[in-house]
Amino acid sequence: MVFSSFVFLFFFLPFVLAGYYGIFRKNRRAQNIFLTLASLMFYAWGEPVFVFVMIGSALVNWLFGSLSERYGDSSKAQHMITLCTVIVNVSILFVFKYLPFLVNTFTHLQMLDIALPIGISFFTFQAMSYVFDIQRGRGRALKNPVDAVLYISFFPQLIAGPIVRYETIAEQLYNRCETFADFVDGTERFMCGFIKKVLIANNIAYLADIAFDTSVPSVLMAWVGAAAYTLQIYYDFSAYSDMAIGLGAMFGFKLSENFDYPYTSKSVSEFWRRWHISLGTWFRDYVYFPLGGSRVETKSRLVFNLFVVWFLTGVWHGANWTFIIWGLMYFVLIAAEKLTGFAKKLGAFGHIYTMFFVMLGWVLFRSESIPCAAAYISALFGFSEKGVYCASDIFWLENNIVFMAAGIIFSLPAAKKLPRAVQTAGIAAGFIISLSYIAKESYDPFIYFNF
Amino acid sequence: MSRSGIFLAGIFTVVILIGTVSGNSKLFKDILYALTGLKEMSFSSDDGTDPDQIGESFILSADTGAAKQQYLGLGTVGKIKLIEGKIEDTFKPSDTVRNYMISLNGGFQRIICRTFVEDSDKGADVIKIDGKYLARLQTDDISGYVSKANDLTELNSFLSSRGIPLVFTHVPYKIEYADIPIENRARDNYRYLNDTLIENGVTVIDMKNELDKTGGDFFEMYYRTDHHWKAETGLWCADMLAGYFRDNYGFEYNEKVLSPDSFNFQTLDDYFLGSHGRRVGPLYAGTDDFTFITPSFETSLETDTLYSDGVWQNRTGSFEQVMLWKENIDSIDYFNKSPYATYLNGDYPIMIFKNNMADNDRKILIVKHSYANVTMPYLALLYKEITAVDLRRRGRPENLYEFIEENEPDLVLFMW
Repeated sequence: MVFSSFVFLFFFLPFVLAGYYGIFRKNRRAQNIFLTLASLMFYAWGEPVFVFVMIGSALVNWLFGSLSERYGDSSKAQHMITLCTVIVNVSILFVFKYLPFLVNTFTHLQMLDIALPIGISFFTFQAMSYVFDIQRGRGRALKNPVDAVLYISFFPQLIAGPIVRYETIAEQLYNRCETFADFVDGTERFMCGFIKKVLIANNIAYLADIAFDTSVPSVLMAWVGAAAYTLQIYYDFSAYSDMAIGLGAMFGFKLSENFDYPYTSKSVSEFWRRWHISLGTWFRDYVYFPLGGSRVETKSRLVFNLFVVWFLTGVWHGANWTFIIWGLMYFVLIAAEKLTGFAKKLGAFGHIYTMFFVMLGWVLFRSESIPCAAAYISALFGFSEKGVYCASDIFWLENNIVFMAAGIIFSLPAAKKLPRAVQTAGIAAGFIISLSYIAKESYDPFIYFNF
Repeated sequence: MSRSGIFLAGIFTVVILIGTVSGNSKLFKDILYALTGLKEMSFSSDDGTDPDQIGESFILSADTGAAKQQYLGLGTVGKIKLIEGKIEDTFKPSDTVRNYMISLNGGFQRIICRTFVEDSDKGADVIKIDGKYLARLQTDDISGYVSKANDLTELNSFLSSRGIPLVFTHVPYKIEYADIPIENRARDNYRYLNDTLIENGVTVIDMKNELDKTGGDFFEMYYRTDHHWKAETGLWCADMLAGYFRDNYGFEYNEKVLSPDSFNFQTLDDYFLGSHGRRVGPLYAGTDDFTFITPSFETSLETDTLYSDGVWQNRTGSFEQVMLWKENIDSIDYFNKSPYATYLNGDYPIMIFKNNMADNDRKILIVKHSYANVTMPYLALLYKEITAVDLRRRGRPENLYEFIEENEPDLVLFMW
């Protein structure tokens, strides 16, 4: 079930809101149990088998969290629990996500792809966060396993984030306050996300697909496709986060922001402080800082720490060499920025430098293989058998220029500067027009569902 | 929280309420009917395809036809997914709401000057040619046309050995002659088909050539919002074919019969939203006028139509009584009525036209697509009997060769 579908808008959401604010409004525990069941139903819709994988993951991690609190004084026990947490959770990811890739790459065996539970990378990291935050004293272990399942499976952020840290949600499980103001803000946030997804991301996706599905695009189409995918992935992913945050607000939860206008960044380091913030901070707090972070004695150790983080970031995104190279590209850039500080000297050109590498990275990210990425990147730099441009390139660009322009403008904080009345009218009109797209049963892929 | 925020929340709430009430009342009714046995719940997936549309091979194989899911044969997971699918279908908007939304969407597409409108069915993407004519960008690859060419060549040999001429004509789609800068498979595919058939000795009428000879604007011979050509063009085609049959096979006929002066033309303004138009709504490219053409002379005709459920229906009377189904134009309903179906009420596996006033015994067998629906009624004014076969429809002859042998036509025309 996706947020941008009629069954979610007119069946699931009203049903959950009615139950939450109606039948169960006077009992917080009942509300939580209801939300848990609703979230499991949400996940099971389309994944009736894998919901048990998620429940199993939640219960195992709840057990680790409980043990961690019980043996809080024993550092040896804590180390064992950390080790078990990592092994169990990484194993789940390994089997479903990485095993076929590793077998097919490093052995002469051929293994068929295993069906991937949707959102497995998100809920697995969230589950690990539960144990780690308890170990750090940033939250108490939950007595009731149902609450742990709710934390991990809460439907707004279950499938594509943001990765909600346990420390941010621990208090809210029983001590949240639902207000009319938050509900109103939540609906507006949801509507904005809905528009970003249906009106912008889905339409720009067509343009990106035309460029990337061609064996070798022309130079112009290669750049147009790269720009289109850069916008598509931002709008697709940030839209989901907007809708997740909006839905959370409707139930009194305050979820952390996940995007902060990343395409305004003047350095790659800044980009990663604005893009998929929940993932970046997860790796920072649970991998980078425990390794020593930047406060290490030697530059080689700093480089090693950065390498581990960015290698894992690439691997987290998918089982393909393209994701690994993508992650390592960021390792090289961020290491260079940290060691030389050159990005700070670029001034306004920092923005061009950042967007150049970000777009290049998205080409890698989108490509099916390294050779495909190499061919596409060659086309970007003028090596295309189709020449600089074809008549069809102009046709597709003209046909999608409005969506591209809107995508560029609203990826900057431009909308905030509009008068409130204009913003309101735009959101209202955009929401209705977006509904017309859904009614037409238009093309509606969620990219980050593959993670 | 601001007033504008409350306004937006209000819009959101209204939309959700309308959709919830509408969808859940439908769902409740479906479940109630299923539980009480008042209406059998359909367990096949509603994917919008026509279950009577089947493969077009000349000889049907045993497994041709749409497969139907057997609910009881599914495992638990399969049953759960099927039920989920049924619930999702229930929450699809009603036809009325959907049609309004399509119109709204089409208006938006027009405002932002898009000439290509994507559809979830990739074969139904709509392209606007020269700012006003709608067409579909075909996605078929050439393999289907290779097998069509082979089948027709083989059939031609079979018919030649029995002294029955075979004539093939392809009625072009607008897209084939659209000056568009993107890949145009329709043009390539049909040119391949025509050229290959000619090479293999099949008699081919180049319909585009014939249309060009009239000196008229090619695109104006078609409905702007539909893939079909107009009834006026269909009448012209009947006259052109009759002339061809006379010149090449000695099928004499009275030329005055198909002269436009012998007909009454009635035009209904802004009456028709065609197949492409229904994908984008009337606001995107407007609507078409619809003209139906009836003889101003006396006629006595009969049709026997085989429906896909195996039932034959007979109609006897004048041209208007037999050939026209005026319930398709008794009111304007852009999304639910097709004025084009005024002629013959659509496509059927077998139709037999008999002319009780024919001055000859000619029998023609036409293997057709829907373009022929505005031509066959006029050809029927000339010949004793026309049998029309639509190989795409359930109930069609299983073996076209055997069917032809049983029918013993004087000529076989493929009008694709």
